[in-house]
Amino acid sequence: MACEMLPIPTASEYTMNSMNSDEILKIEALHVTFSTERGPVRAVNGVSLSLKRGEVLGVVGESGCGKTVTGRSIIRLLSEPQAQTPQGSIVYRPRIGEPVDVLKLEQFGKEMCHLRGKEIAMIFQEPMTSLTPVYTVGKQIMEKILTHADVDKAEARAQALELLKRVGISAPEQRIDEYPHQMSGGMRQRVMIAIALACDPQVLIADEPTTALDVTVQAQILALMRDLKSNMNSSILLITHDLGVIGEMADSVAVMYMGRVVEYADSVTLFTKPRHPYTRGLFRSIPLLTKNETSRLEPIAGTVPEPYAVPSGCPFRTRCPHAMPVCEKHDPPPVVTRDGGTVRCWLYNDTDPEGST
Amino acid sequence: MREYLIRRLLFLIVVLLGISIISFVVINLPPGDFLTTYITNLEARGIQVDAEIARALRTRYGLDQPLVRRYFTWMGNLLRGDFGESFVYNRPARDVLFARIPMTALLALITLIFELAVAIPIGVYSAVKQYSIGDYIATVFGFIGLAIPNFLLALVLMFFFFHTFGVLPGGLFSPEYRDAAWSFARVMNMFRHLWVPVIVIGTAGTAGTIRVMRAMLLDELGKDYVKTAISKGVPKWKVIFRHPFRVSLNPIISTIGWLLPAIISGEAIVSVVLNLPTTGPVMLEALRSQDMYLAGSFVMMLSVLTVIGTLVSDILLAVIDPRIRYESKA
Repeated sequence: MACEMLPIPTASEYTMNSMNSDEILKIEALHVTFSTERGPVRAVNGVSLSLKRGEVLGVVGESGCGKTVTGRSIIRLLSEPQAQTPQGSIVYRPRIGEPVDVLKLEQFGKEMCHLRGKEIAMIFQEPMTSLTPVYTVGKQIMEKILTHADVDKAEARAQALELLKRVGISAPEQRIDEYPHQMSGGMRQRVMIAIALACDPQVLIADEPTTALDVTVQAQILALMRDLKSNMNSSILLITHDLGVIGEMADSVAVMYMGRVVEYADSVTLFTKPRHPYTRGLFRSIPLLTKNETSRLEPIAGTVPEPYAVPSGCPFRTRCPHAMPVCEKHDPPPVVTRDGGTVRCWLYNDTDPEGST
Repeated sequence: MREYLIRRLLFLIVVLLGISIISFVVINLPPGDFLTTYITNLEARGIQVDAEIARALRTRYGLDQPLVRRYFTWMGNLLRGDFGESFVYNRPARDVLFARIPMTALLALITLIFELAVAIPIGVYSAVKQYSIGDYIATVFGFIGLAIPNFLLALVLMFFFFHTFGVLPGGLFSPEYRDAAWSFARVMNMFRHLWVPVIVIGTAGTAGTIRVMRAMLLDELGKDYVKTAISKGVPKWKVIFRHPFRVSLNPIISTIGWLLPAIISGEAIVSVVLNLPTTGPVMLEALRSQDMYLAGSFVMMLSVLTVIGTLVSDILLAVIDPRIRYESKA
């Protein structure tokens, strides 16, 4: 798939200086605020993440924790009236050329349209509605190829056919001329993945790619994504609420709660030694085959607070079994752990927030 | 698809037969017939009509025969292309009808183009820039356009015209061109007159289409597939026109078939007000004077075009929307 590279303009050196060469995407202090009738809602409140080359970074959290909004901010997919333009920085390091802060680009400018799809592709949650109903799937794959690559229609079609084969669609010569409604959900998600893979993007954002599918189809799609990952050395940002999917796919994990990353660790550490009380609560609330059969599932107490009335201090303190007086007054800053992860909880922080310095 | 078409065509014949019976009965429903009206008119002017002559005339036109018999005679002739005689014009009803169809069709077509050319861009703008000042202006215009009866708009425009230019914009031609042979000058003259009826007739349709276009596109703009298209890196306006716009056009394209009957009815009241040489005024007059065969021809033509228009709409929809094509096959 030979898609031509365009030179990417240099952006501010803001986060870039701190960026390691193996980091392909670095999100720093991302804020997204939606204005609603009941007041502003901070959907994303200071998220910092970094995605390394060839890595699968899982982002896990409950509905409404800001994980999808974070994913969409990366390719500027939110409808952006001035009020909800993401703040902070999202720096992408392309194969060739200088790192670029996507939040500094014009939302539908030339550079952003080049990044979108060609460099950073996205797979969505709802395969049933994510394809345009009036075009054949082949045409929809070709549209992306023709947008980014300087090829003629026949070549684009050949590439689309190749992609359909790669994502494991049987009889691709026939399927390429079919319409989305003639396909099952799993098949459509394969087409979505084929679209995402067209033009060999460096970063794949998969937003709940298996949530809307049957369990057996979920397993197939996950297997496909694992295959693709090992074959193409691109990085995947996997957004899900399903810890099982995370355990199966992710190299490292960011746990999100109310618009912020409360814990970040590599996958093994997170599963064996979860630190944040919220992460631990998540693990206690899912069934595990290795667990003693007689142990009961424990839900996390209470419900997620209304986004209009975020608690003072640590947003999790209203549901936290370890809540301390300090949690009410001060929001815990991220603390680097021994395993190289971060956690935002006063349990792991020795500094005195009231301290003079 | 072919089976579906054949089934639809067979069904169409049954529907038309039903319509022909109903319309024939309705046309004959008012007491008396054309001759009664005619004789009353003559008597009002003090001319005595001999009862003998009246009866002879009735026999000649077949008006003395029972309704069922007359229906079958009419239908039989109709199938052979004979629409019957117009009493008022004293000419074959077909000639009366077809003499006015070209102008009516032309007016309908130009009005349609005007409507779509104005309404689609405004509707798209309104949807893409929802709640902008432009959107509000379009919305207000839309509601006003829908609310004003066409004939009232015609009267107001005529008044305005007469007041400022001292000319009446009635008809499609200036007097010197009215009966002239076709020439370049006559065509130009026609276009100078045409814009008044086009605006009058097109306003309501334009306003309605703006609303439909805006609502449909707004609906589609929020759909997931739009996000997919954007995420492919397609530029914004290309995304809008290729994806949500294309989908939202379906209802508009598919209702184009419904405009066929308008070619015959020709906005009857507006045409009377503006004195247009279209079919509308003739149809009204035929119905009023119980000019049975002419009225019947009009009603049948209207029905045929309505039914065909609906069929055309369905076919168009199947052509432009793959989901429908395959559902009808299943």
